[in-house]
Amino acid sequence: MRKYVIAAILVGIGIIIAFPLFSMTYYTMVRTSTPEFCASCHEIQPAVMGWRASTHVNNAQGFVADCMDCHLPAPHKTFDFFFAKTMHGAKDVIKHFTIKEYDRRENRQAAYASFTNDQCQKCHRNILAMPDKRGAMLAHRSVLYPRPGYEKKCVDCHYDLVHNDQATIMYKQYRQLPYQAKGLRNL
Amino acid sequence: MRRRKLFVCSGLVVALLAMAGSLSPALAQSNFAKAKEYRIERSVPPEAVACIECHKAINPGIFDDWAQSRHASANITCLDCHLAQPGDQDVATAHEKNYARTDLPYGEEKYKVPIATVVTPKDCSRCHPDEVTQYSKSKHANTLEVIWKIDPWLNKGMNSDNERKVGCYHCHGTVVAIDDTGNLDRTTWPNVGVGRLNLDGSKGSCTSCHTRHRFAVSEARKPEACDSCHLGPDHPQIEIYNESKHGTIYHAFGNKFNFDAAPGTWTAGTDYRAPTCAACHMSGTGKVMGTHDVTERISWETQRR
Repeated sequence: MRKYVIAAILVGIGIIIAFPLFSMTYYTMVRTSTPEFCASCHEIQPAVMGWRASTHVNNAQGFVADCMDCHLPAPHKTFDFFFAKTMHGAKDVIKHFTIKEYDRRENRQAAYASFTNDQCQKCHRNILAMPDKRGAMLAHRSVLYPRPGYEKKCVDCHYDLVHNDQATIMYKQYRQLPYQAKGLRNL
Repeated sequence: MRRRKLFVCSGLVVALLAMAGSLSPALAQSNFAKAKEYRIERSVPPEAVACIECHKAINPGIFDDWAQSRHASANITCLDCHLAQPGDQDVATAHEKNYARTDLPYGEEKYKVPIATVVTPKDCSRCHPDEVTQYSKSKHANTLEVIWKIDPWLNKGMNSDNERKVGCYHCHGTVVAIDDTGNLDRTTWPNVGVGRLNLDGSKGSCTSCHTRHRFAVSEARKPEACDSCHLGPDHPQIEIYNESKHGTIYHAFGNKFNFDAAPGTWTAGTDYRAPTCAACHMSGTGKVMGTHDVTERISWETQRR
């Protein structure tokens, strides 16, 4: 009987400690995952403003891709996700006080380098069947099934897509020009 | 009697055939080309329909070239290659005025899109990224830099502007520029030099070997694609080839070669009997993968690497 009492007390203590811990972690995660939170660093504000005017926010589907949807590993890679998120947060605070000036161009290149195709393909999964865009089908095939040595990233061709300093909001459904990838970035 | 019947019958047949011939316009006017039709049966953006319909009338040759190309088969239209982004340096400003012309059926504001005359390897890389990556590493893409580094004729001013234009830049490429009026500088364009320096920063021109607007793989597989540049005393590769046994067999039997084989399937002994320039310098064979880096297999270039 005593054994059960001890077990019940231990479980109870576990719950008392773990429940607030988990819920606080969760709460913190939610609070720190919004674009508004990202924009609380003044260095990031222009990027968030550009994003808000982009087709990744404004489209007929009503779909919004948040900062984290692209800039962090997919949540199903749980450990990577938490680690990367914490790393980013800690790094940004330290950098804020140590560096003199935030070089947006340099950081843009660093972001391109950090992207993996998985991050884009979380949402953009059906990229081979585009009967009205055969060229894109051809190019996408060379990314999904690359010849050895010719591995490419989505952002090699699709860049300057979101964080552009533009005066007006770009609605995907009112795009005046048909969207095209820009061709290889490093040519 | 029987012979007479046969004679009448055959006479009738001849008369009928002649009548049929005079009725059929194709036979009656064999010297007049029939304009190629184009029915918009597949999904094409309205702006591209405007391009095609207008240029079909103005440049039937260009249209016909395109219509016979693999691009047309794949529903790749003018817009897929010529569409520019607003603010691009090379937007054809004069062309934009056409959208305000009421005498043109497609002269409407709603079809207005920025168009670039010059299509660069960067544009091609949107659909053919691997080919362009290989090409951009090759000496072809960098040949303009190469001549300025090593050529005394250029560096010591030993030739005239005209000699440079027709003698050097024609093949090595120009530095494409915009003149004061906002149009392409006439001294730098038209040009299809393999090392052309484009306004978007990319180097070269895919149309050197795949001439527009057909862009055929079969063309680039033939020595004639190479010989407009690789000739003469300073680079006599075509003369060497023509006088080799490879060249002899090509000239004797080349008309029986299959130059249209799909990429990656062109096979020695099956599709061709003797190699052309491309067969050795570019095409894949056995385990060797094809490449658009023409310098990849040149021994002195591989030593340099």
